[in-house]
Amino acid sequence: MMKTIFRVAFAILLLFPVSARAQDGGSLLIRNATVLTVTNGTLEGTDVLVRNGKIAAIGKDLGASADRVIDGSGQFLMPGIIDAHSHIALSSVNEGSSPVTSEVTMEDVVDPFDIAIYRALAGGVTISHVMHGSANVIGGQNETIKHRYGAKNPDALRMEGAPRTIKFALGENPTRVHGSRGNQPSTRMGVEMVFRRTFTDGKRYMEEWDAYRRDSKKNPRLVPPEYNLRLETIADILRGEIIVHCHSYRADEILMLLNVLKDFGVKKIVFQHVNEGFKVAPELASYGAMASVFSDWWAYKFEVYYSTAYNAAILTRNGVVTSINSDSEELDRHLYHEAAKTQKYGGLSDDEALSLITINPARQLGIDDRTGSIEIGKDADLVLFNAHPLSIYAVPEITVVDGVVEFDREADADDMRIIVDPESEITDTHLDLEYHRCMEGAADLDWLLSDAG
Amino acid sequence: MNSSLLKFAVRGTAAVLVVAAAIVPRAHGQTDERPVTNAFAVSGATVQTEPGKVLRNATVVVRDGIITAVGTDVAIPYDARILDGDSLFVYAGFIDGIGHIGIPEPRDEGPSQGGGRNQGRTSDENPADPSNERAGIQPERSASDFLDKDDKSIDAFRKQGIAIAHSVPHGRMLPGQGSVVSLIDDISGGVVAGDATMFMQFQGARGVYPGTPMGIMAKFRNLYRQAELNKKWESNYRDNPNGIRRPPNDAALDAFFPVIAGTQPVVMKADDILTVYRALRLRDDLGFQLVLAGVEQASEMVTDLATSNAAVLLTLKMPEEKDKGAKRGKAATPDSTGEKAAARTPYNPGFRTNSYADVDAEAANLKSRRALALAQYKETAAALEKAGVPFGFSTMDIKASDFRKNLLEMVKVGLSKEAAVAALTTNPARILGIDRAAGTIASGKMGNLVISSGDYFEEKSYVKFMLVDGRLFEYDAPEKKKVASKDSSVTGAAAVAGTWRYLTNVQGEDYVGRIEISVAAGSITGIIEGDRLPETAMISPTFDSGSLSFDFMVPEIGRSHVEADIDGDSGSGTITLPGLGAFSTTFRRTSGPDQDVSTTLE
Repeated sequence: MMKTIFRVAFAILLLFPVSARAQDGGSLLIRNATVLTVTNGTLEGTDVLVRNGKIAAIGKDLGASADRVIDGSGQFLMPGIIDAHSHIALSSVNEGSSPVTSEVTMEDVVDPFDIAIYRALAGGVTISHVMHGSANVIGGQNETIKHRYGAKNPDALRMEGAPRTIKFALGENPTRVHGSRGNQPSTRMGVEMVFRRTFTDGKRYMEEWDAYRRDSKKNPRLVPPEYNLRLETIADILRGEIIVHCHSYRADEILMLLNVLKDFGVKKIVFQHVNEGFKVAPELASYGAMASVFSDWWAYKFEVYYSTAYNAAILTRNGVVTSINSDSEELDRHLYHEAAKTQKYGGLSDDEALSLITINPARQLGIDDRTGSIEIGKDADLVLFNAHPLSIYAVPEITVVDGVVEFDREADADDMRIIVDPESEITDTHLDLEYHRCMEGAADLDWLLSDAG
Repeated sequence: MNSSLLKFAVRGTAAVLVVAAAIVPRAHGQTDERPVTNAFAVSGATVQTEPGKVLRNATVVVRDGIITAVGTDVAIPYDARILDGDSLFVYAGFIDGIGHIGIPEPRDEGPSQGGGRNQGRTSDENPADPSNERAGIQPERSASDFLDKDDKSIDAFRKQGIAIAHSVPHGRMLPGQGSVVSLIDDISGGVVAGDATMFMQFQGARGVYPGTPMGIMAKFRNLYRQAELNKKWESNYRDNPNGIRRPPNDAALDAFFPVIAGTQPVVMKADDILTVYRALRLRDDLGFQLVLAGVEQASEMVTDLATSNAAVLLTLKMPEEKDKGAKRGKAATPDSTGEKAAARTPYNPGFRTNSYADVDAEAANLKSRRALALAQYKETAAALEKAGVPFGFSTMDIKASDFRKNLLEMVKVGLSKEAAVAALTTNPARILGIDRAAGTIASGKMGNLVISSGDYFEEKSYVKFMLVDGRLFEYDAPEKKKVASKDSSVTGAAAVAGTWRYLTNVQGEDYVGRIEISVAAGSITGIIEGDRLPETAMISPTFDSGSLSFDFMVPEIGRSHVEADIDGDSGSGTITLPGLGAFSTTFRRTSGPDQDVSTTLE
């Protein structure tokens, strides 16, 4: 009896796959929508044709046939939202045992089963920059993932060809985690010292290996220098192959890092949070530094006491490429509202406001040649809203990643998990979610070290 | 079988019985005495010489530790001890793909076993740069050095049919090298292939680097690449030391040399899907031979496993069935309401309701999905067979008593007996590189036989004899379970009543405490108290066929759990503290249950 039930259930599962990846590699036509291209203005009553995961055509009455046609009449199509600061879909966030952990990489710990990916899709987010936490001065390398929900192989989520990025952190988090154990850094001066020492070590390491590679051609018996994946990564930063994303709040320490980077010739820098960015906006702009901020969140600890909801607008008006991020698996579901706040606080235009969650984060991640706007040839990452996305009444209806419908409000079942633990408890208790994972792992470690024994 | 062959076989059996009764005294294994004979014969048996190849009414002869003859027309040597019984089934001795058989769990994680009594970091130690020992990086250690002939797991698993075990040390990231050993009593003398594998786990060091899976992966890459450089350096030095600085003789890095040379595989404990993919990632980066060990949920990634070119050792662990009633007494949750109705409702993947509107329907649907997940989990072995992925088994996470039970469950849900035998014999032999010596019943192979009272995969069968390295072990039929009386849970529970002392070790520090259990009107109640734990009531205590289990609240830590196997007045098990881990604990009864329970508690 039980067996038969399971067979029937399996058959149902096969007929209705849990993730609605119905038309992989097929074509999709969205007809007669208001298309918010972000980079080329707003196009009324326009069709967008998707083939093989790319935007193939944009125009009125394309008349093309497609595997699936969606009527966009009265609706608004915008590029997939990009969250430049996230900790979803990760098995671990901080390797908090050392102030420098440039050798670790989030691409090793992507968790494709995290339901937060699906929830982000429901908020129109198609790409997340999943980052190492802020426990260390130089944390691990981050990963840019596409929300291809339903894949079981973690590698399937990685955005192929996206540039490497790495997490740095200034201020209270690294000084608290490492300083409280009696290690460097315990002050802001110490943070700068860790940067300078590590870059110096990395430079020397790079020189030693360059010399070895040159000389070993003549003398294959030459003893190689010590291998060090940590410094190998620092050398890659010095070579300009990795974009630095730095957790920061105060203007003084932001300028400190700019000085350090200038001394070591590192050009690619995006400041994260950067709550006092408005104080040093011209300096950021002249260095070519970018900024990824919260819309209106501060005063959650002493070093973030001073900020303003005009931050994004001031940075934008000063020519700093600025984005608004979530750093949270709750906030990422309404980033379009967060962007809209810049119209109340700073009077940004529609395109400027939408840029904060599309083309600008794409620039900060080095993926603006493929994403962040609706243009022919770009990845078909799209969101269809029932109203203008900067309206308080906007609700995402359909979210498309690489031409695949990953979220459809019509087919939004209660249970969207990919796998189920056969020993999981089913209770009617209240959800208790930890939205902010920035210090996850580091905090546990801290507790253990100070209290154990 | 043709009739003349049959006649011969029958005659052979009759002769055997006469001989057996007349001259061979009944010898017992498991003694230090010199055996009467080193020759053994089993005849008239159903012999599975290799997976799927069955000889009926056949004879197998083992002499001096080697199989010397197998077939239906084999003469029994005059000096052979005959292993007799009705309709015996004979299999090649089973091989445990990976486990800790013969290696006791370190009591206090002493320095020699990868933890250190000083788990709590000393103030002058930098967590960023711990010693290899503290970080759990000890690939130079050998499982052979940790084998202990007094370890109870040896006989417990042998009794299930295991003749050869691939045992690995306990520890953290790199606990040491695995050895392939015969499960003879003096296990240290049973090493078939020492240091056959390098064992690796994604288990971080506590409080020091590397602490997370990503830290472990980075560290592994760093060690491996440095070892590659050192290996080349050392080979240059050995060719001609002139002009070359002496290589460093780093034991941990030198241990990687056979892995890099391709003569030793890395066995990675990869229980969940994500860890499997991480292990494959490391393999693809570095290029070593990979064995995936203790794999769970494999049915979710059959195709990727089939194309991965990695060997697979499937866990023998089975999840606990949640729908079998509210065992842990969560009476008020939806989990325990409408259990049967839930199991009967097929899962509806498109189900939509507002949570407040129809809680029962929502819970029922979730439970149906969980039941599906359980069924799928159990069918993992069958799914791998269907996909043509050869696999062995891992005993790492199971008790010996679950070995056969769980195997039979896998067969019940679709694993063929042939594939099961392959997973117990030829597949692990190949994975461990011992297939010339073990895995099948053929002349010249090791004298390892499982002699079962009937078909091994029939519930009522039991292992009657084990031949391991040509040494005999004899087992009695298991006692029939007592017929459960209506109040068996109460009488069963009464056996655990009394006052107990427990001893546990958390992060290098010993904790002792007291447990009091009383049984009245069919239910168990009790308290637990400890050095730093005020007297606390047990939550949902249960005692069932020797297993004691209860929860309790620890201030500032949360709901904690005790699981213990009780045998008479002593027991062993774990205390699990949320966020900290599970800690081995021993239990000793200080009073009761023979005394009146009420006086014990006064």
